[in-house]
Amino acid sequence: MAERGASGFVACLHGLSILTQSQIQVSIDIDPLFTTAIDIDPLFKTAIDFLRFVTTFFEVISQSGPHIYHSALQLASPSSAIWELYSHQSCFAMSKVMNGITSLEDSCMASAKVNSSCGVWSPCGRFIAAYMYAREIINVGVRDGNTLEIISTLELPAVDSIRWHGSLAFSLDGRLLACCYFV
Amino acid sequence: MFLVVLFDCTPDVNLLLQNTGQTRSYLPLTYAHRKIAALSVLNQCRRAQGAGYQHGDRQGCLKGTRESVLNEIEDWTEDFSTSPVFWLNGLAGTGKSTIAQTIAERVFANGRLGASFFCSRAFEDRSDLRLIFPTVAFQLAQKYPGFRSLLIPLLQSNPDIFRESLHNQMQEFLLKPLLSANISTVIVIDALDECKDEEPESAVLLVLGKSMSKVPRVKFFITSRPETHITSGFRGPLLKEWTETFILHHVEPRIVHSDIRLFFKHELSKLTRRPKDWPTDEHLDSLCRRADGFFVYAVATVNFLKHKFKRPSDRLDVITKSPESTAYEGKAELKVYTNLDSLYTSIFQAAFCKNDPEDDAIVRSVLSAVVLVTNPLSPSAIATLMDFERDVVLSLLELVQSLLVLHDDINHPVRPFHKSFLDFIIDPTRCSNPRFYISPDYQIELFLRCLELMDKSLKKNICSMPGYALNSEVEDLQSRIEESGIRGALEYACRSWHNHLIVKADRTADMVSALRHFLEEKFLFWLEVLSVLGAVGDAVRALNVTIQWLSEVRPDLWLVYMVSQY
Repeated sequence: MAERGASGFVACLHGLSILTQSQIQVSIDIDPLFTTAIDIDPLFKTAIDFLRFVTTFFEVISQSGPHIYHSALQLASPSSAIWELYSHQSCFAMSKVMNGITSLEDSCMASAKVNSSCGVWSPCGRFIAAYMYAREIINVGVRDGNTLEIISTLELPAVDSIRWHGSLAFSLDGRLLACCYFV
Repeated sequence: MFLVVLFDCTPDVNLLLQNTGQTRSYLPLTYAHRKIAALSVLNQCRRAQGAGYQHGDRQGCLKGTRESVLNEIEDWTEDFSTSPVFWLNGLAGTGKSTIAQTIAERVFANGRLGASFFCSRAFEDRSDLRLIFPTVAFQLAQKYPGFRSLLIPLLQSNPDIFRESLHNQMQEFLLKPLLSANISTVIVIDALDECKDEEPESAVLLVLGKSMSKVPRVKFFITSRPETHITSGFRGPLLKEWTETFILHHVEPRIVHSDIRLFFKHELSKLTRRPKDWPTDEHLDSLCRRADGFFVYAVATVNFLKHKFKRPSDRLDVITKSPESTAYEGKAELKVYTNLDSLYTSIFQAAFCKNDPEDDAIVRSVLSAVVLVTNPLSPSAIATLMDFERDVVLSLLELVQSLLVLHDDINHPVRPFHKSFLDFIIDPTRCSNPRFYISPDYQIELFLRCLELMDKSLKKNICSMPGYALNSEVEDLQSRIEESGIRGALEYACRSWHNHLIVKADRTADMVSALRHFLEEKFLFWLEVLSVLGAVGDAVRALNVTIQWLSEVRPDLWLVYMVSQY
């Protein structure tokens, strides 16, 4: 134990360029428990952070291997260990959010207050859905993400009294778009 | 009012799907659709695979043996005025599972078997207490349409019931549907002691005890070893008055010896290459004396004598020349298994007569991958995991195949033939020959091997999945999994590495180092594999176990962990 612990500590010290070889040799007798503490603390924090990542994005991870990188990792907090260690695996090109959501919500959802509008990219990045409320009429449209041509539109039934905001959300597979509003 | 509007986003379709609760339903369900949907709910019911009596290669009692105990149990299953619980209590190797198998077969033949759950430590799901009630409920739903029609709405309204406490599971899965359906049935639960349960009083029995007064016309036949927490469960105030107990190792020795003799005579007469008039009465007497009431001894002996090339009479000499111990060895429990342990040792010595430390280390490594794994591996997977040649592993396992369930197919899982063999080989007080003893160090070796294999094999997009695809959309997902080489050793490593985390001070540094490398380099690739296998729950378990392990290695981290839980 003493040997293993000491060698672990020496490895840590090697990273400090100001230490000379003789200083490293001197440090070999340091208490092995202390060296274990150095090794374990960050690992413990990493494990807790990773557990949080898995439980937060459990559904996404369960449903799709690719979306671990496209959705879960991309939505991880920038201060998290998972982001620190794996951000290079994330798909930066797929910025899906146009307007209106916090970083903790799904990136394929957006919401807008009364007399306002919002839009979202589909998970595949091919479509843009937009929601617009004006003069008691709600227009929801889906456009091609590249050409911006309108693919489909819908004028929702006239609603007399909108008291709250509406929101848009794509399904994870990008095939369905939900438009929700409170009347 | 909250409106939800759904669009189909396919470019050539412009469609309003649904305006909930307001105007119209876009997808009217036909009766057939509803039925399929209902069965789909049932099929998604999380349960243990292969736990029923009809699965596996278990055999029932030889005709003419165990008659009195079988008759007594069968009479009990027919009479609903007697106790609703029957506990068959017996020491390891006394034949409980064989009796349970026979009872399940007979009760099934009479149309009264509702469900059976044969617990087994060799399989992770069959040793999981939380899967007993869901599995039993699934089988009851398959057999009784009335039960099924009550269970499905309960599952639909509470799909997370599998994650709830045993008490809630009992209420939802069994009590509510049973009460409404008014079914008379028998449920067989074998080897309850093989489930992982660290409670001082068996958690399943505690729940069962609380529910017995409410369960109508359902009989539970349960077998187990007399372990403390199970004995406390049956003798506790909740269950005692509902339970009839039969202690198998208290059956008159004369009757058991006669049954074992009949078994030996029947099985040995089937052996090819046996001399004429063999075995003699003297042979049978000697074997019965050595078996000393343990059927497992008889089964292991017969397995050992069944050798492809060697003559059974020569093999029998190996057994009969080993010491037939009757000496008291300090512990009553030890004395009970002395002859069995002596048999196991003889089989090992006959298989590995050459005393070579290097070879012995390989033998122990391979055997550890048979007895310590939480789900059985095939010889081929053992070779991959432990980094040995397949031929080496297979030939080594063949040498001790009388102690294993080993198939000809190198890709078929291998496991110990009986739990008593596992108990023997991991207990230094029983397996006194250090050449064969599997110490806890082998748990650590398995842990490190799992991490090493994952490090070598895991990579991004291992199954070459199309971008943005959902797993359910990839029609050939299973063949992609096969082609990527996940099945077998890598699947085991990904799903079970955490089961081999044990605290051992002198190996902590190695384990921490391997763990850190894994988490820092392969974590997302590991999640990918679990995702395509539909086993992301294992990631949560593994990380929880890891956090707990780290806090055991460094007790002061425990407080941090507890805070993180809230």
